[in-house]
Amino acid sequence: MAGKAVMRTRLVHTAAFISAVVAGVSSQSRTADGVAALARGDYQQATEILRPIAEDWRSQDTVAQFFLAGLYASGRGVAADPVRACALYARAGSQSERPFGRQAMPLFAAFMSRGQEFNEECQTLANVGVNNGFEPATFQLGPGHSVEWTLAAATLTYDGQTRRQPAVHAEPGARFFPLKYTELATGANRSAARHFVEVFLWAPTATADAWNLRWHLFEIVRDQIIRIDTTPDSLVTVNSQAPPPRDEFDVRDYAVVRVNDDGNAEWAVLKGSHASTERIETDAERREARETSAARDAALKGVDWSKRSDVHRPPALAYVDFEGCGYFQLLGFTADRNEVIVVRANVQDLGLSTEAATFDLSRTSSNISIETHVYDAPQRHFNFCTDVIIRGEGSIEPEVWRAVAGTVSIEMSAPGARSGPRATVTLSNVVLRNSAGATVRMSQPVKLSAIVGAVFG
Amino acid sequence: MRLGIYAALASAWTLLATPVAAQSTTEDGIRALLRADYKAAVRILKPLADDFERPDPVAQFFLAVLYEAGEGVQRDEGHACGLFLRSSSREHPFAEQSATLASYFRDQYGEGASLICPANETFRGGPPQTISLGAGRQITFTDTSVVLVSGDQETRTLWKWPPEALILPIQYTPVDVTKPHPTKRHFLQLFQWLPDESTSPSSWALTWGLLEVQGDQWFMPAWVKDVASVNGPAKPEAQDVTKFVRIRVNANGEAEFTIPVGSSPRTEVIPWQAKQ
Repeated sequence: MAGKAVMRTRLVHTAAFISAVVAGVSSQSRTADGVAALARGDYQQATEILRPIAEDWRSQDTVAQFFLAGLYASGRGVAADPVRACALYARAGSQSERPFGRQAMPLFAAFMSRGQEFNEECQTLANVGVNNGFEPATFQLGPGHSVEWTLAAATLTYDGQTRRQPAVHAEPGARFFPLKYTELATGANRSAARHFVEVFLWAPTATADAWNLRWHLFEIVRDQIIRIDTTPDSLVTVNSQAPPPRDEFDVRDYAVVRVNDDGNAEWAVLKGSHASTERIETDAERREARETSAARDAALKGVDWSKRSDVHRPPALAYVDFEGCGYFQLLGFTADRNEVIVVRANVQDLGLSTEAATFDLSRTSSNISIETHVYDAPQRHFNFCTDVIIRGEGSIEPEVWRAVAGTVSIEMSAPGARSGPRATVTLSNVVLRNSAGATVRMSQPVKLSAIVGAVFG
Repeated sequence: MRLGIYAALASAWTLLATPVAAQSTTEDGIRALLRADYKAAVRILKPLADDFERPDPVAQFFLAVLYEAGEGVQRDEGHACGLFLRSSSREHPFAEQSATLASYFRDQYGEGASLICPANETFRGGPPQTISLGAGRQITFTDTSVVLVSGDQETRTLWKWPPEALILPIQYTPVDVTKPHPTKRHFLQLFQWLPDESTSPSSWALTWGLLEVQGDQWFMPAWVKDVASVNGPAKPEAQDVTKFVRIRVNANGEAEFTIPVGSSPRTEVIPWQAKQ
């Protein structure tokens, strides 16, 4: 793992951020001074001159980049750093029409034999810029459980297995804070340890006259690194040529991950108009979401999409899979996806809550409607819960059956950490009627349940 | 199979004939290059890089960059590669970069690398043989190339001698003719002894090639395989081979060559080949 050792040596470099772009002409002759010093074998002076020019993330000076890369590669005048050498060659080589850009490309390519991890570190460094302040770190989460964080990737060791995955995508010019690792004691008796890694960085705007403070929050669960979505994208924006000095700025004034009074993990944005707090999904909640999604995928695989049925058949009224959205629509699908039941309810006007409420469908109300749509072919996509209207399979309009009698009972749960409440609907003795006047009665109660509140598609 | 590459690399380039100030240093050349005064950079770096006795490896590196980029000279990647390779054979601040770039190109050339990108630019183990033709023209022979300079125009052609050949010094034979019009014709005679069998020869045949320079071009109007021969395995001893071929102006005022002995003695007028 040569890459690891390399990343650590990079800690040595704390060169100050170059606050102004050096004017083209003077930079050019300054670069020539550096190359001339190098040709004389004065590596120290060459490094002193070339480094600030080549390492400014805005630098287009392919000459300075090329020759500083050579110094990092050989370790003359500066500590050897092959990742930096590679990244500088990559930057110079990306402008092949500029002086030494053409020659930089094969020198960059020569590093590729060092393997994929090295390449990822090199290319990430080339993209972000070599002067990014990132400090690699390794956090011990428990016995045999640790995470090593580099610029390009996080490598998680758990149960004797090692897994590497891309880390934070940072913009060119980004300036990192030291990584933060937080262990939270959660649960009713505060006995469940949860592990969070936070990446704070300043990202320059396109014109580089303002800097946005970004916060990337990750939870580490066993062998998984889970990205936690937080808002807003920028915790604070400062208008200046350079971001505030690192030791004069405490990111904890802006954002935190902590345990709330109920023992749940939550993140909080503490300042600004977007100050907010959100509970962080638990492992069990994530598992349930995964299982639901896996079950749906499996069910869809079993559908015979070529099957055609009589559109005028009576509805089967047997629903195996559910979706919800808004406040709310609840959908139930048959196993062969050629029939859907749609329950629409106005949560506010009906005063729905966590206590079940029952309504009589023979009294028409604009606040509740129940319909079954019967299709001639299986539908991959239903035009509910979406503003994307997709013409389904088959060519015939579905036959619509509307509930005209029976009772419906509706119960809402409390909202989840990352989702709306769950709506559970039970239909009893419901009679449905089509446009021709035919009716069908549910012989047994039909139950539908799904998370609502979001709009998708 | 590699001929296509050779042909592509046999490209022309520009060279400034202006004399170089004696005190110009490698650093002057580097600074000229970095301020994009590429012609000046070539003018300064080329003599330093091409010095046969003491080539400057730093000058070779920067000159190679100019050849590879086609700045101040006609782009010539093979020649750039050769300069990188020769530069990398000595210790200097750019040696590692030279070595990586040389091997990058040589990998692409495969088996042709030793011809396209030679490790040494020599002729028969010594310095390249340069013959001045007057009026700003000169022709240079190396083991792997023929380089014709005409004013600020320079043409470099890859040239492969048979490896088993005993190559003799190039003979320059200028001739004043009146036909097809009065002019001085510049002939170069290429003599080489070739063994009948490369590992254990029983005889050696003298091959004669005639090269003519007209303007900024050169031609091979004649190539005769055995103008003379010697028996025995030993390499032929040094002797005056010019007696085996004579070039002169005939009674019509045309240039002609005569091969008096050998397998097919003959006299032929040397055709004028340049486009009018």
